[in-house]
Amino acid sequence: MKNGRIKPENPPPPEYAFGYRHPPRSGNEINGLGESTRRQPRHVFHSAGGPPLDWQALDDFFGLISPWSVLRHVIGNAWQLRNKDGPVNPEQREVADAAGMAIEIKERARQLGADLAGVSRITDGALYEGIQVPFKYAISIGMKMDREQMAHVPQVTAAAEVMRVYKEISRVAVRLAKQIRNMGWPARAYGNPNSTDILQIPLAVNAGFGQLGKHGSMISKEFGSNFRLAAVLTDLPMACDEPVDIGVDDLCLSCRRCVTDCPPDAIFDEKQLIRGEKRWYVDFDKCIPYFVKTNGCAICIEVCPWSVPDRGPSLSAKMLAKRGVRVGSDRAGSESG
Amino acid sequence: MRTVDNAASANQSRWKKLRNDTSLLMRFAAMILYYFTTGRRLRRLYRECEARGEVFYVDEDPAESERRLR
Repeated sequence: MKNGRIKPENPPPPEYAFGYRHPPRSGNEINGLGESTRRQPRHVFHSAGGPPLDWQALDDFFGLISPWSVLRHVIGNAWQLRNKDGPVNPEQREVADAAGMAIEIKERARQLGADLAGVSRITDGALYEGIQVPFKYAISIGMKMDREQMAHVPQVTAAAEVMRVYKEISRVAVRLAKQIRNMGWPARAYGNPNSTDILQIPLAVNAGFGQLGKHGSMISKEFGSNFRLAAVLTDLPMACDEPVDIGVDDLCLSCRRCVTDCPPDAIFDEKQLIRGEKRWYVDFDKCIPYFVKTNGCAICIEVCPWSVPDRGPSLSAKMLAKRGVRVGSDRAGSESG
Repeated sequence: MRTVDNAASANQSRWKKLRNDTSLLMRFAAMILYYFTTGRRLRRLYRECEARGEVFYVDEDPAESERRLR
């Protein structure tokens, strides 16, 4: 690591000693690459125990070649999430001030250990096809990863850090959900990165955490992409945050760092049409084999200029100023951080 | 190997919760056993394939891969 920048040292080549005898349907097709009509996303990889997915065999293989140092955090996470739901206090606390409640909940999330917290209304785009959840709101929470550990991408040290943070953020989500249920409102924690119900990124974008980057991951002003997400779904009335523009597109359109550093060349230079919407997208069929080979890769999120510690605010100001947006007029991070 | 995303556990009695927790622990035990038995065999086969420049087929029965590598 030099000046906070990470340059992966000798990442393995995108050559694989594993493969399919009967290749599954393209993950890009399942994800809706090139589709012009809007529809909800479908599960393709990372099953959480539901019906087998098209890429199930590779997913199972991924789990079995994961080192124990990673797997132990996966198990720890699942153990915590046994308490993701629970009984609701029959004495319901009345909420007269939804804005005040949102502030209180975000403060509680921070006290429990979250680095980012925001509220959004649950939309269809954040739910997998065929899934309905009995809640109106999502409290997205983010937790930063240890940059020193993540500097080892795409090695096991970084993969273990990713899963450690998922375990820690689940702990926060479970406790926050419990506090809300104690207030007499239903709430359920979602901390499993393999969730079969919700997509964390659309919720976090709507909660004002940041924007989707060229590498297909969230970019926040505070931590770039060096953080992980969880959520609590609830009916507790709260004022919602708004999506923010921190200038991610402005940089991603000219920056090629993740593109050039991606060993399997999976990152597109331009936005793609995905389920009726132009957005940044990563070629699933190229990314996932390398992701599996390296126990979770993560090169793109760590080489991203936004992920350099303390760089985000100045980068955002610079990008927005170039476009003529008065710095400080956006509310990026002002409430979510 | 799939992780655990079990059904919601709202409004369950203390005994039911204890039963669910025990069942989850049993699933973990089975998962860990699988990881250290079948998983070890699979990891060995995969390393062998890697060393020989061959392909380990993830959708093939490991016994078939073993026969192929003999």
